[in-house]
Amino acid sequence: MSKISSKTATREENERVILQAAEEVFAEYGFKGATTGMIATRAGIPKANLHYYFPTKLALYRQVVENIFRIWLEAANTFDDCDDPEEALTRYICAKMDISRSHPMGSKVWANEILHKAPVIQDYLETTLGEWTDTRIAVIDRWISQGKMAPIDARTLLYMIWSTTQHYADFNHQINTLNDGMPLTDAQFDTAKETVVSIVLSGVGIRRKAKPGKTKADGEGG
Amino acid sequence: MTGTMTKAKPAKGLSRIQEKNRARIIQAALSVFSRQGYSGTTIEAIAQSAGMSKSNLLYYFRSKEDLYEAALAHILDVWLAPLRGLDARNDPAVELSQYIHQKMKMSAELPAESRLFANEILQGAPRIKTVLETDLKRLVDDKTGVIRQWIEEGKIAPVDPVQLIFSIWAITQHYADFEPQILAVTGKTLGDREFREEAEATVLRLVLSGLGLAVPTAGTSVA
Repeated sequence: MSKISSKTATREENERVILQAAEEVFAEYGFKGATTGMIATRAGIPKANLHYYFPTKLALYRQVVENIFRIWLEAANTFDDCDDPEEALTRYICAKMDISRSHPMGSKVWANEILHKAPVIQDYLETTLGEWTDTRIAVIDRWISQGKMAPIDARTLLYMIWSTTQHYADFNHQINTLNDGMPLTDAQFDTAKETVVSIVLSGVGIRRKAKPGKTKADGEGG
Repeated sequence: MTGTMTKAKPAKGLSRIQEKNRARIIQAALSVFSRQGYSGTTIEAIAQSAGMSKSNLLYYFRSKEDLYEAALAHILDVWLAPLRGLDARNDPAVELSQYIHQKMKMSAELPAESRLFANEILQGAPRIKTVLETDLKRLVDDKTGVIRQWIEEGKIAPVDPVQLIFSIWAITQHYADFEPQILAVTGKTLGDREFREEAEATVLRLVLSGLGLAVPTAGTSVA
């Protein structure tokens, strides 16, 4: 029993190390440019070992893409958990901003894939993402019809949230460069979060009941 | 270095024909790089697209890398032109809607160029780091000053100026960079006139309302 579970633990640990290395290599080189050899080297394991866990580059790539996708989708569960658009949108935006910081590589792999016309994940876009988006739109439209927010095209609102939050991962080199070559500090990142939340909520006509934390308008980030 | 080089060069002793040739090469380079990527592009392909011999092209640019840098610096230059125009003395609603309109127009008309630039940044901006550090930084510093002034004068809601600029870049470029995703989810791209107008109107409303502004009615968002 304990033998099996320690085996499982080793397996999980190895998969985790491989996936993390894969995320970095795919983010940097894209699907075409990356090789399993590069990923094995980055993970510090023999290539044969990698192939034991992931038989092909494609299998590994799909796993990386599925991971970030799942993390993003979970972030929008707030839409189901609460029926107050202010709270739901705030929590969704904050979660997506945090993911851009904790998983920048996953976000970049996704962006890279889309930039290259989504050759590998086209089925995902058309089925999973499409269906999921429709369910979120239904919730937003319901809020609008209940007069809880201004009438706005729900799809565009989602694009706005996706793009502004993922910008902090995908374009972090540009952001760092403009920040004197340094990554945003915790305080600067909080300001960024607060700015995105504030623009989106005001943008959909929601007057905020309570602004969480400091509302330092400018400075910090500049 | 690259940005100033690109801009300074034509002024320095190039004849008008040479300047025209140089601009033609950059356009050709942009279109080939945008379609084929860096490694898939050859100097021959760019020369052919520019309608000149390879040796003639090499008179203007020594290497593929030079061409790539010039092409990226050119995109950035074109993109930033409308931001340069942001003027603190004018009405922020008009200024910002003009800017968003221009950016949406570029995403509609030059999506491949936008993707080329995004790709470069994703990879850590190895070739245009210097342009970002100099030209872009200076301009953003300058324009955050404009936005800050509007805030101080009570003309727009208090937001962080840099993050506001990022938000505008993100949403407008999203329509070009994530075009396949938008196509899969919406079934349309900015190539569809109606979709483009609706997208632009919604983005304008979101951002301007986000700043406590109303969308100006006349003379701004003419597609």
